[in-house]
Amino acid sequence: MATLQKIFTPLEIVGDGVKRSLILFHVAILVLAWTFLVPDKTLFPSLGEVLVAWKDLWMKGLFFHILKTLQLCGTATLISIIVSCIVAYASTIPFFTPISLFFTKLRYNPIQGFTLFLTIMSGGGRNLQITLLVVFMSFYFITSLISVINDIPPEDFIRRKTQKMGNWKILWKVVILDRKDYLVEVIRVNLGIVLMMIVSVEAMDKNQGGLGSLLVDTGRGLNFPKIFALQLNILLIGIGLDMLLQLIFNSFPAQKKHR
Amino acid sequence: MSDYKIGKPIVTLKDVSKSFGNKLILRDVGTEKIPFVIYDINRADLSQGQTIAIVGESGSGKSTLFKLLAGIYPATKGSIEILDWEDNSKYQTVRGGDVGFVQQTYPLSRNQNVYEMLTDAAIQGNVPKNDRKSIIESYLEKWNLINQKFLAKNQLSGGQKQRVAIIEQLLCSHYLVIFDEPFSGLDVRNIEDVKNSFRKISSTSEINTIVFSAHDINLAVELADVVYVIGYERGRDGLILPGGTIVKKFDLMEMGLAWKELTAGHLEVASEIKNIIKT
Repeated sequence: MATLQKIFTPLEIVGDGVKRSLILFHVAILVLAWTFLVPDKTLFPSLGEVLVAWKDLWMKGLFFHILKTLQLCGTATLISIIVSCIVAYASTIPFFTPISLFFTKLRYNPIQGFTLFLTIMSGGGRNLQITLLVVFMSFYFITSLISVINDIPPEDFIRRKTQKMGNWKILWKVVILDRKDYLVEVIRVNLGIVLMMIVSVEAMDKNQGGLGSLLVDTGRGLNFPKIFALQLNILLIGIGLDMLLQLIFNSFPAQKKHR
Repeated sequence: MSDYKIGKPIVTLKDVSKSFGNKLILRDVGTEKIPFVIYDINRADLSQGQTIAIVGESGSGKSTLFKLLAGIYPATKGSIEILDWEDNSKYQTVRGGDVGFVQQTYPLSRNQNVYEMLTDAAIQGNVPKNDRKSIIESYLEKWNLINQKFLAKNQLSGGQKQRVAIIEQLLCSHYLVIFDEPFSGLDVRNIEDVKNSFRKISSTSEINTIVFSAHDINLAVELADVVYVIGYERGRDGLILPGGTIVKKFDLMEMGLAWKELTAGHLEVASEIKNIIKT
């Protein structure tokens, strides 16, 4: 009874077991509602139709499309995070600060206008997809990383200075090494934007495959069960990646809790 | 009164002022009237460094003075000369790293365990590679942190964080260590721990010197050999002059009160200091 009261009271803290039970409960309600409350012969497909559509997609090579998407996502994220780190860490050097800050403002500039230019520059195909994702993601990564750097307490720099460290070593120790967990968090937080971009980017060259190209093709056929199956698939991949990154983030010493 | 001899100056401040923009924070510290010189004090048959307290109301410039002393930023005016630890016949302008500084919040690395943090400090203090492990472990034993060796910052209690921060400074071969409000927010037991830390640092080396700030005046008078009171002076027109400065110095060694348990004499000094701060 006390637990029941707790879960409906604002700001109450509940145990991990209760949290897990609540998640399972909500998922069960969603599945039951989808199974029994969606009327037949509407545009909104039933759970059964979506599962059949998903099985059909799987038989027709969905797995390889997922691999293509993950490969594109991984490559673009890796390049983007390297570029973003260089630009963000350079913001601590006064000469480069204005350039780094300018990059954060570029996220207000829609990239669509540069698509043709980037197509010619990158040669199209896979290179164009990677370039578009890298450019798009980097603006967000740089903004988040610079925000992390700006939030470093001055006491952290003073501590290392009193340890006889020079400015370059302080940059390495305090800004880069001591905040490495935030790199994972920055990727995790911005992952949603990447997955949103995937559809547009993969649709630009459907020959390359991937979930995005599959979704555009399916959308044209107005096959709603398949569209729902693909959307659900992308959502589950996103949740999976989010959980994996959260797990990595939690493994850093900075996230260890008081005993 | 304990016998002692005043040795060579370790740190000398001369007319030190600090402004941020147009705002004067600290004014003329170390004048002819009230010199600010930290000496090497020698006591017969005892290896003990000096302990200096800085007291004053909040916002009077104690932290700014500490950051100047630690060489974190330069003085706007005046000079801070420190003994060259390598060649004791020379003095140099204080630089970041010459003086240890245990900050009020005990900042530590987020992504290192205690042993890794202390290894960093030992490297910076030029502790030979072959001796590093044994020296770090002896410090961990002495400061009762051996069971926390592989714990991260967030897994340490406030007192443990403070001890790690102190060992870091000691491993960096700092003979002069500043403590910004080390007793702030501590309970009776933790205050005793900090007092023990002071004794350990003082007894480690003859020239080890502690400079600390405290709001508890009785505690400051009990622990210090010299107490500087920082506050605001009034001009001839009666108006408060901008910038905190040293308004009074109490040499407890000279007064025969240093290195003794709390006596009525200490309480009298404490009472006088409280009156100065109030006015």
